[in-house]
Amino acid sequence: MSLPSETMSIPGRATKRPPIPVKILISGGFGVGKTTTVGALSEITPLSTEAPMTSMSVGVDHDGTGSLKTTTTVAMDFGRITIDESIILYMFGTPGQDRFGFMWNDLADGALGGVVLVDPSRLNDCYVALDYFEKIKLPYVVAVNQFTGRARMTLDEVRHAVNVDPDVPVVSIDARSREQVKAVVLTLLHRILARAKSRRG
Amino acid sequence: MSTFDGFDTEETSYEEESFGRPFLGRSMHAEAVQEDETHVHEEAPGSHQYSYLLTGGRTGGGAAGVGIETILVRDVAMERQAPHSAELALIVEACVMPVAVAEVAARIGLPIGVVQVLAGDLVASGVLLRSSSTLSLGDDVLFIERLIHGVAAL
Repeated sequence: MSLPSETMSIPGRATKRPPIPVKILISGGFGVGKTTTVGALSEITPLSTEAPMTSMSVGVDHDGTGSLKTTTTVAMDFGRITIDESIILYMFGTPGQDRFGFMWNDLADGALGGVVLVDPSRLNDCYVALDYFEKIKLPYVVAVNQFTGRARMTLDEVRHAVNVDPDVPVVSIDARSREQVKAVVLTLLHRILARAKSRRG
Repeated sequence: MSTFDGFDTEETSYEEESFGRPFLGRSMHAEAVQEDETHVHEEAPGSHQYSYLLTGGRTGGGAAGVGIETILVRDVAMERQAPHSAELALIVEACVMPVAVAEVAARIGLPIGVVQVLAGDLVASGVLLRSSSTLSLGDDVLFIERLIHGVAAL
């Protein structure tokens, strides 16, 4: 089938190009508050979609029914924020564990930046995400989700423990707070802006 | 005292109960999809084998350039034609308004990798329009500034 260019429009029936998607990854260990963070800013109740596990995980995950099934799925929660008529921001809560490494490339492809959520009582859970963002040179910020009753650390202590570059922002966040999540996203965007300006020279 | 401390309590037992989460695996939408179909599949929607049947064995959206965040919209300039399968029809139907691939997948209950492949086909045949590439956005100072103003105004 031969079709006209997708940018060509018929007068009177023109379809506008879809808005530009901006993808931000919200990563961290299980239960650290990724879905809560996404939900705090999203204009829709966070949606969940499944990504099939590929052969890399075959033999690792069993569904426990004694069947021969060697594949399973992993859920990814995400939310949408309409910025204006031509920009839509998508926040993807991404499983931050080694065994989901197969899906990182698909997730990170085209991502603008990342937020690494840290639970001070389970610091180790954030390293996979940190290392991955470092490796692919994705701009990111470290956001410490901490509340009364949980283990508390100062931001300096967290920075020292996770050993990120001095120019990586380490901020605290209440994942339930729309304003605080917004502030973290803005911190990330300013970091991305600074990098873009330095590259432009 | 609130029991909700901002941590995702529903996630804490994820590993043990990954099949007990309401949105994991077979969603309500996926079952609805099955009811709509006239023929019976041996494998349930979402299963590994079923996914490969739908895509003709193809995986990933990389080749077609369709990412999980790529926004799709039905091209109203295109003649409406009968889609080749129920899955394609569902995808086209979900794209009346601009919507990301991941959102389409979540709403119609198909695995995201399947939607990436099928949406790539629909873009190639001109039924759907896709958003332009986002790969260089991180270096676009004006765009980032616009984004910052937009987020600050939320």
